[in-house]
Amino acid sequence: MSDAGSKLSPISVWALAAGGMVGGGIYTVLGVVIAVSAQWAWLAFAFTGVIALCSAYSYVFLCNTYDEGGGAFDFLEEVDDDWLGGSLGWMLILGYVLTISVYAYAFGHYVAFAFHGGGLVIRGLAAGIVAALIGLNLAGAGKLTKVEVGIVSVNLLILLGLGVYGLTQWDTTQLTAGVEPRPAWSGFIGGAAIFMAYEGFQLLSYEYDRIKDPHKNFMPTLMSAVVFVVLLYIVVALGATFVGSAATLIDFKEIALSITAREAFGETGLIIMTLAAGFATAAAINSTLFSTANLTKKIAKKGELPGWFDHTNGNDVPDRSIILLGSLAGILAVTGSLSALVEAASLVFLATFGIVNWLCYQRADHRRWIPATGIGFAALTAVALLLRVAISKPVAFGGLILIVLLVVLGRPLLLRKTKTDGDDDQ
Amino acid sequence: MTTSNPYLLLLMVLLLAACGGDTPAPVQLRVGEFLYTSDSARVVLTDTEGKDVDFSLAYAELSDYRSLPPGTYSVRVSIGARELLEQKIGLGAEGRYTMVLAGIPKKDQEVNQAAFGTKLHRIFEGAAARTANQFLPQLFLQNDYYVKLSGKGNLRVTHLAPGLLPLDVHLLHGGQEETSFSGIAYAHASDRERLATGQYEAAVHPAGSPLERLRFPVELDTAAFHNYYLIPDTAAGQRLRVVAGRTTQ
Repeated sequence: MSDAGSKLSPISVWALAAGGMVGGGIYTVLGVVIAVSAQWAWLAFAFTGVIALCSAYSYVFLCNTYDEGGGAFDFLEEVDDDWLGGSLGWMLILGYVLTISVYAYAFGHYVAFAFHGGGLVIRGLAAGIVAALIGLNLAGAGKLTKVEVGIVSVNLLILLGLGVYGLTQWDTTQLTAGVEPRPAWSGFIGGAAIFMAYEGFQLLSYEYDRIKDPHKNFMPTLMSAVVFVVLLYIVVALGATFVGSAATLIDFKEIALSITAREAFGETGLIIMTLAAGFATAAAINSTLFSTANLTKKIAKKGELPGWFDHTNGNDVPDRSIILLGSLAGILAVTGSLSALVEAASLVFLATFGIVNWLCYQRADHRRWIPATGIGFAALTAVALLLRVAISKPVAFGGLILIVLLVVLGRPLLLRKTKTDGDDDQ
Repeated sequence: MTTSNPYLLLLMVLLLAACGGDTPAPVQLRVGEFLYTSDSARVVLTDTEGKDVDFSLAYAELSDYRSLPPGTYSVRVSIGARELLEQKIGLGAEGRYTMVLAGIPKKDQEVNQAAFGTKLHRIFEGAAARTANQFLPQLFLQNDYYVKLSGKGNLRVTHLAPGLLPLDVHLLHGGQEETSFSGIAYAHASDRERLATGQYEAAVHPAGSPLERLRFPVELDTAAFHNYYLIPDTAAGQRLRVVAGRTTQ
């Protein structure tokens, strides 16, 4: 069933990029951003959209420059920065695991809500979807591009429909319903908290070699997909709040769009939104798990991860990576809190996008203002996010610092040890 | 351009569905006066046109819902001549809210006096910020929206006893524990819990402790959202009491 061998048309690339962002993003972050920014939630999406746009430009520029697929890890390998490449590779894997856990968390909540399920059902569904997709990937059917394109297209249509319907119910009092109105600068902090809603497009950089005429098509396709998603997020942020009201979307942040759809179209709306969220998050888990496992294999091949991760099964699938990373994500989805997972993932991707913009800035001869803008905005946003995590979740902040230290300091020690053990074995 | 374009078709259907501009439905607001003082509190809401709505409430009093036009209101809370709090709030059409007043008023406190940590939380967390604020007076809105399900009742418990440790609330049905809310901190509420309708008993303990501080009956029905506010009993020293509120759609 895998269709990994065929070339991707611009329409498929566009749908996969837009769907990769929207797939889990808007379903989980809307309530979080409204809590922080209230009537300026739309501005939060616009602000972080600028970082996404600059980063998309930098990703395509670097892919075209090196004429090969790859993400931040590969770009750093190209400039021979093994230390930063290895550290970032590890952080990226962590970011993807967090992202998968957020998607699984959303899947569990959206599907359980439709069936009036409680905590156990939610956790069972979150763990179950990850387990099912681990199995699918191990069987070699992890890359189902045509199915993904179909799912994300329907998903985009449903979200756009809900957003546009909401706009027709224009009522600005709903933007601050049940909350204190917030100043415009809160849009900046809100954007920092939910940046992971934009990370999905960069998975396409791993598919560069499969894109039809990438030098010609990749830049306009990816940029237009990001612009579309920024506008879609703004429309949904406004439209859903007009229908659902700010306080309700905050209180029910795990299922914000199901509540909105139910308010707008009754039980039919709830069913449609549950199907959309279920399929979109499942597709997002699948594509992220597939890409992460392949990235892990690549990093292991370059010697920046223990060789244990390089192992593949009979279907040429990096089985150990899939099982380990998927299981980690499943555990986080079952035990973590939504905003903690979203914020940790956002921080990883802000750092990654900042580095990619920096690499682009160094290599580019013209339009350097684009990556420069991305670097500036990403740095400001990362500082705001770090402050937010430190103040609101000091324990999680401490854990995050510990993980970063382990990656930066512990990684060389671990690699040295595994290499020595390998030599001894020989 | 034809209607075979799915996006255009969708837009037309949505525009048709949205036809019929009704005047916005009113907001339902009630106030819970849980400021730990023997004096009554006065709450004045002023809309953008300068019209006032007044609530005068004694300690532990939960008002009935009042209908208000949706919009942004300035709220002023005072005890006697002393103004304690001033805040802007948004009230959206068709919403049902409880304005909760909590904390211990100080003799010479400033209006909106807040601890430094509370100010930081408000900057970075917005509406999600909920702190003890060193037990100084604070005002927050609770959204009384709930999802009605057949055979299930909704309930929520809010800890409003300043100075008291986080609380565990065990819900007992026929002597057996049905569910529990763990570690509800001061100024925080439990999640909305949906349970089978019927009679329950709620047993309140300090978090992790077997010591029972309060037991009260809970009767859940599908028609309402039941809110329980745990507050200090001014008449009985360190004891707790509960104020119950019922919200119907």
